[in-house]
Amino acid sequence: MRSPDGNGQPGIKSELLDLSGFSLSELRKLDPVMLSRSIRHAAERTAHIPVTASGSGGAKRVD
Amino acid sequence: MHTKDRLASDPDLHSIPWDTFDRLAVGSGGLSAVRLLRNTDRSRRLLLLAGLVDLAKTAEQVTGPLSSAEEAWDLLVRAQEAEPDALERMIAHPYTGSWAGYTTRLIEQGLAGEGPLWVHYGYFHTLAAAAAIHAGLDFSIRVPVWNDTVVLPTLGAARLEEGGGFTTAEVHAAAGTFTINGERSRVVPGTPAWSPLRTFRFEAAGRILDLRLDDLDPHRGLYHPIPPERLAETEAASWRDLLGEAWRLIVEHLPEYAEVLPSGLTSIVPQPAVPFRLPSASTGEAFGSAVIAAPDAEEPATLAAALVHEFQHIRLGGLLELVRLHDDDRTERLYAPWREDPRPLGGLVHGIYAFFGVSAFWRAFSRACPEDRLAAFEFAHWRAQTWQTLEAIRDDAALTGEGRRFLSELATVFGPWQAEPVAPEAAQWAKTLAEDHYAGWRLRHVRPEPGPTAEVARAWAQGERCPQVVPGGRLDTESDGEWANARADLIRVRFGRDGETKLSQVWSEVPGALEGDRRLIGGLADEARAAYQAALDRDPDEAATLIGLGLSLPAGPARRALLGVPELVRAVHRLLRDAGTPPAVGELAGWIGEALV
Repeated sequence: MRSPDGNGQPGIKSELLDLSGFSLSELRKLDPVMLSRSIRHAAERTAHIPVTASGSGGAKRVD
Repeated sequence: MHTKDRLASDPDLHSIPWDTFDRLAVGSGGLSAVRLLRNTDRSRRLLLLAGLVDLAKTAEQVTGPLSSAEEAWDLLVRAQEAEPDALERMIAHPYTGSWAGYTTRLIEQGLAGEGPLWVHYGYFHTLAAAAAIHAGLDFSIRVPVWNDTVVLPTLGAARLEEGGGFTTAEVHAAAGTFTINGERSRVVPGTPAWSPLRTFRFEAAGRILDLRLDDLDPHRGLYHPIPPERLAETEAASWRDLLGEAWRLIVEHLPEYAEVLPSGLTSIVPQPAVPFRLPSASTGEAFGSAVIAAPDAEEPATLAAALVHEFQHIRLGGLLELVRLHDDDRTERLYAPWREDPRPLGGLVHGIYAFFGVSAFWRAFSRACPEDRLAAFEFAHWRAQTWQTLEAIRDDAALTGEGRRFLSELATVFGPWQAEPVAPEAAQWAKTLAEDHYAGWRLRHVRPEPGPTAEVARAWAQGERCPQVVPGGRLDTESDGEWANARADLIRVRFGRDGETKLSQVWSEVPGALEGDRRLIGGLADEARAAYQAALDRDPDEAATLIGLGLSLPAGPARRALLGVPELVRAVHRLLRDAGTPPAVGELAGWIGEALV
């Protein structure tokens, strides 16, 4: 997604809420619809485990 | 969630400026870029945590016999109010991220975990307890016990005596101390039943790296919770010494990375040593963590390269929370010079970024220490293999515009490195290793088409010229055979300290090493060829020997066939064996090579 950031500088906008300015107590006072949408986005992305490893697991002869 | 007392302003969405994106692509961007990635991952973790706490309101069974999720949340809130850094330590803890991902997956997908759901969910309670301890609060909270063990993330592990299985204990803190109280036993820090998490601080030229050596946390692995595997003190001391030396090398040779690496790599998960190798891994869910096998005491530079490698994966994992570089195609369809198996596009993008960093390290090290033959070899090897991979995918249709831009930016820095001079022997052996690996990959994963294979076999049997051979075949993700890449290990032995002597001493200890391999890597190609041919007379199907024969041959059709289409040579030879008239493998390869396009 391409859009300007908060400073008007061109950039890429994600679908994650920026919670860096909010305490845990404040987190619970956020717009519930907006919060739920961002939680769902984060939860859906857990479906795939992004593991990277050098080498690979054992392999078996198949012929 | 409460809906009253709404805040005056809502949060924005995370974003990344294009210039930061471009600088990250070339391994730059400084601390501000890494902090941006950290902040993004922090929000991801908080969102998952908030989602899990919300879930417990309507599914109380997720906490089972533990304190409620609200109690754990409230304890976190108290910790933040008393000492904000206490909460930040827990949110930034790498395994908070992997726990949040794992537990969300269990619930979202209805999966069975390693234990009851409440045990996994209850890691949240241990996070709250650890945050409260860091904040100096007085509190009590009930946490899960798994096989008599309670791990308090970032602090350590208590070994109770509860009879095993899944039970509970109370973490109680008052007046600056804490205890872990089970039904039958009690642990106090400072006693033999308490294993504190080991933390190290390294300083080199004013640069500080704080690392935890985490052998305790249940979420330190890659996929699912694992029990503690406490290292002996001597092993931990060895890790400390080598990590310190590796850090010194990074500071000295790669100062731009040394500036930012401490913000992106905070925890090392030690794994048992693998002879002659240093495998490592990481997961995008655990920003800040790398899983690394115990390093060779004589090769701190290899450990330094591994730290840079994993840091690059961590950086890219963070960026991918913000930006899609490719679509969700996870088809394992592409050749990667660093893996035995076909990889999806995303795996190659990750690998390119990681080995770009590795190339940068060896390039700088080799420039500073031109007499270091291993450094020269590693630079020659990784720059060529990584560049070839980049060239292969930079126009892949599954890349997004951002993905194309990322690789293009990277190429502007990486491309000129390809022309830099390296020692001829380093270049030669890098080429040999590349040919070796690619031929091995084809033997493992490319299946020749039956029709053309039979036609080639028929032509041989009739004494005809070989029909034109175009490299092709069908990709199969399952490997046809299993063998070690011993020649890669032997090459590195040869280029290590006292390499030639060591090669003759330890070659037989290298897993899978053949007599022909020792001679080939020792520079005795004629003797190697004789050894490989003798081995093929005994077993003409042996994959490592087939490729070894190809590597030992001078340039010509037989070498071309054995390294370019080894799967076809083997398949045709199998048919001729079945017909009862098998030729020498080298002779058949030479005949096929004449027709190879």
